[in-house]
Amino acid sequence: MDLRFWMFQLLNGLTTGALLFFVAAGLTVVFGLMRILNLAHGGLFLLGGFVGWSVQQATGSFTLALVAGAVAAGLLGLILQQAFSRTLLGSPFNQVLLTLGIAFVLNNAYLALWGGAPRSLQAPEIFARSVSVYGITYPAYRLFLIGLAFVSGTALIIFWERSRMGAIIRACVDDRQMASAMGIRVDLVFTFVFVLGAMLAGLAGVLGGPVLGVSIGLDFDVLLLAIVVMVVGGIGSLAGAFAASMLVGLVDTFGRASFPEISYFTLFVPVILILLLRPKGLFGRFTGE
Amino acid sequence: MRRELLILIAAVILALLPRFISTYWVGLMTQALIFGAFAMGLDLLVGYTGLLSLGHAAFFGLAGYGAALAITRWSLDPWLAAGLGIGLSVLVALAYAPLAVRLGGLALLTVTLAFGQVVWGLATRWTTFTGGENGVPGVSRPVLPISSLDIADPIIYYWFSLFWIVLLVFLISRFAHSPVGLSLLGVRDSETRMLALGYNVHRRKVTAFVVAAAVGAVCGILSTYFNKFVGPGSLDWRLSAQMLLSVVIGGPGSLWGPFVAGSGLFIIRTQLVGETQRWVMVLGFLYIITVLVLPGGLASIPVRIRNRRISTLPSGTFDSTGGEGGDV
Amino acid sequence: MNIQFRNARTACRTLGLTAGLILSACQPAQPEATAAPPAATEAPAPADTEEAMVETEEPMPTAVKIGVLNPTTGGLAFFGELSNQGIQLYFDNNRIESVDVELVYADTAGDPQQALDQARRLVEQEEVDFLMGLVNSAVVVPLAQFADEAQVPLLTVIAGAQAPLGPNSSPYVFRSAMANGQQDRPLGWYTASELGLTQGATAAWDFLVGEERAGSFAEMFTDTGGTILTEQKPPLGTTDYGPYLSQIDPSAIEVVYAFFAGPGAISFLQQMGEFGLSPDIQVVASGYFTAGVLGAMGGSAEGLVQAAQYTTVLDTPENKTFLELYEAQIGGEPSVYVEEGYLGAEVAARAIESLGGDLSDIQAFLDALAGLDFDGPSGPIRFDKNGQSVRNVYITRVVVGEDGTVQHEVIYVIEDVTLDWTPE
Repeated sequence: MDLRFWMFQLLNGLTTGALLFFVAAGLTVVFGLMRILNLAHGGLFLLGGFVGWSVQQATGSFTLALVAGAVAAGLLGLILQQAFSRTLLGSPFNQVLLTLGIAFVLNNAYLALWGGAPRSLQAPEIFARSVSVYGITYPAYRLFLIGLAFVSGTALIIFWERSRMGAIIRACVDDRQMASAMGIRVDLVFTFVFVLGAMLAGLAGVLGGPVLGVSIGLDFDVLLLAIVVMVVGGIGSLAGAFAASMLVGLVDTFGRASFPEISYFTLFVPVILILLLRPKGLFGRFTGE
Repeated sequence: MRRELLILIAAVILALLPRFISTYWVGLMTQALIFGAFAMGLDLLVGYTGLLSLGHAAFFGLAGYGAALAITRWSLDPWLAAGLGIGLSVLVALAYAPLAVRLGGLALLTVTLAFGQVVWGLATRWTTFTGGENGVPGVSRPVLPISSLDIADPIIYYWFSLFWIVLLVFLISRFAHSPVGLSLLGVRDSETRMLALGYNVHRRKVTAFVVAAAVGAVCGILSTYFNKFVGPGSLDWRLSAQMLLSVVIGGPGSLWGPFVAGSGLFIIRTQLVGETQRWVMVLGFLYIITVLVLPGGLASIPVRIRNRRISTLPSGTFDSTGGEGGDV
Repeated sequence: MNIQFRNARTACRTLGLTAGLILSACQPAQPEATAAPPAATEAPAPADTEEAMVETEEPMPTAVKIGVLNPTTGGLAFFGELSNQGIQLYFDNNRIESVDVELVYADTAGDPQQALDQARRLVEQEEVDFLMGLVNSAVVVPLAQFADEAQVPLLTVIAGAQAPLGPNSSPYVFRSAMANGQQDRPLGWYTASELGLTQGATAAWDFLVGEERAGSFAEMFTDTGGTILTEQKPPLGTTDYGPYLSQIDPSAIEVVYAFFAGPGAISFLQQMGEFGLSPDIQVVASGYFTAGVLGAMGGSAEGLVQAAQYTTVLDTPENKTFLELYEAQIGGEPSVYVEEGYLGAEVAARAIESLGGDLSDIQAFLDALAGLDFDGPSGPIRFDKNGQSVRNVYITRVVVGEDGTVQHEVIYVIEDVTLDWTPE
């Protein structure tokens, strides 16, 4: 257990955390505003990954892949939100049924469109190398991911807490009727946030491509993790999602590295403990009614 | 009395079924009934009490594993082993429920999922004891007290399962309409009111959780003996999800709806795989259509026919089902 | 429903859309494809003749119905589809004298419960004569038990779980694939003895196959004088190896044995490079490591040493025929999964042929399987007394051509490898 080990695992944990944050951010924003548990979130994530992969194959550009992945997922999000807006805002039971149905359709459609062959995105040229930090060799792309998570996390939280748009959205979260009475177009805000959530998922799919790959089945794996992070962080809280991503990433990574025999438990046992101790999650806003 | 009569009539029809269907369909029906009962038990927790679980396969699989390991490792009699398996499941549920049901809504969904994953991980990785992914083959079925009935015969096993399932359905129905069962509905609709009325809400939630687990355990035993095998698949979160979907499609809180949906979905899925490569997509569309056409699930059909207007079935948001503010 | 899908598939084929993408969409949509009609021997477009076959043909030859159980949805769909492709390719192009072979496909989704349910449906409802297929090891044990109880022969063409073909194996279960460890044992010996690398690590997904394979490698590796310094076991499906790679100390370890597949194998090699471990550390793996993904690995696979059951570069007439068929009807280079499917189909076809298509006596069919000894695309194959195949292991190295293409080259051949192989 030398310094090298700790340094490595710290960076690994932060990388995992960064990826988790990109995935969970969209889910938690949508749930926070609309109380929609979007189980098709993993499907949006994977769409981003596949579209990004195709675009990178065609153009060789990671940046274009990022844009295309996010736009594709955002468009699909828009279509879904418009087509099912009533059901999506209905009872949680029907939300679960609808979004899980969509998730199955998407999963199978990707298999038909892209085939089952596993894909992997190439990291952008400038990050496709390793750097030495404190005597260890670490992939530059992962450092970029960590940096990006911190930057975009901060930006999102500032947008949420400080901007006018953020204030409008929060007004809708706190009291829909009141916001509506104040002349806020709640339906437009809902659409905006749903599409934003979908775009974040698509973005995550492309960003995760060089680390996790793009393959059928990843949609459901990612969905489970995103739900876990969202709930541990405190539903609807971006700051909570960020903290939970990093916490879960670090605990899981150190657990796996220190006790490889039980790496199946290093994620879920801490999750149970955290939730039993803090039922509302780390940053739960919604206390009581 | 009307309920008991209906159960009895359904039981008689089901008992006569093997005369009219092939051996293959007898086997299919056996499993369909098992999954139907499992979904019905889960409805007590999900539909009646308003608590979402994505981990009740853990209790289905625990009982199956308990019995299978007792039979194959310690040569225990399958009857005793079944008792042991169910006991194990119920004990674990009793220990876990009081902690879990303090949470509501998505938090409960998550801890049940996490717990299910832990049990699944144990079954998969504790290879020396559980057999890992290979699961436990060679599970023998119990010998029936009447020697002329050979349980290896698919029809006899069908009747054997039917007997226990009818018993389960009867007990679930009795429980649901008992004062305790009815108070669960109160917990779902307004926890605060129930607290104010002096009900021990926590204890009622625990009861619903454990009863659903116990029903799952019996179904797990029946399934394990049917397959003569148990594997990590019986603990998979996908099974939990399928059961939760069955409850929703059936109509939460109606009991019979989830039973029909649980059975029907199993049959549809198994047969659909033979019809099309894209069965996953077809099932997905089926879910979407169901929710658009029948937002209240199967149980809303009779109501609709009777009232000719849109039914008002249990609805609300995640908040009112316990949600983040579950603990008041 | 059936008819619709058959038509859809034919439509795709007749449009001439044989690009990989379309193929994967259309090819597997064949729950009931009839194969090997009389005219198929010269027919370049098998789909057309199949269609004709369904309606015509009066003097019925003996009919044989085979249930093919492979995953075609979920994470394993890719491998199941490739395996189905190989099976279909063989029967499309090899007619058995006066026998009609009908293939009934069913999707296991990689799930043991669904595999069991589908096996029952195939045997009891479709009344197939025997079952073949199986990609993932987890479905092997329950299906072997089912085959034994239902007295239906089962031919495993991909999955390698050791358990059902050990000494207590069922007489109904055969495996044309190599078992877990059957390649890894020779590889352990080769690594320590011939490559002379003795400071090793293993990295394998933490599941049955990983355990059996890495364990077999480690056993023979240490028996030959090697030392395993660390065993890394990421959960099944892991594609981010950061936490594990950082445990591999490049100053102490010379060789890493890896067992991953598909996306996991791609990212493992990629990340070995990113973490600065390759090319200093030699990576060795079994044949499935690069199956279907060698192209996607590209340059990161250079120098990889594998113990393969098949490689496209084998220079034998059987392999040439296979490669030509694949090139002509599907296009490109086949992966190991296609070859294993093709080989399994040939095993089945040869046994059927020796009985003239009469499978009414199951014991005769089992005896026919047990007595097989022939050369397939991957070289000689025969069965041991438990029904496990005995085949060659090819030690290969990945080389990158001047034009950037990645290819295997055979550097050593170990013949007649049994499950308990030891060096002479």
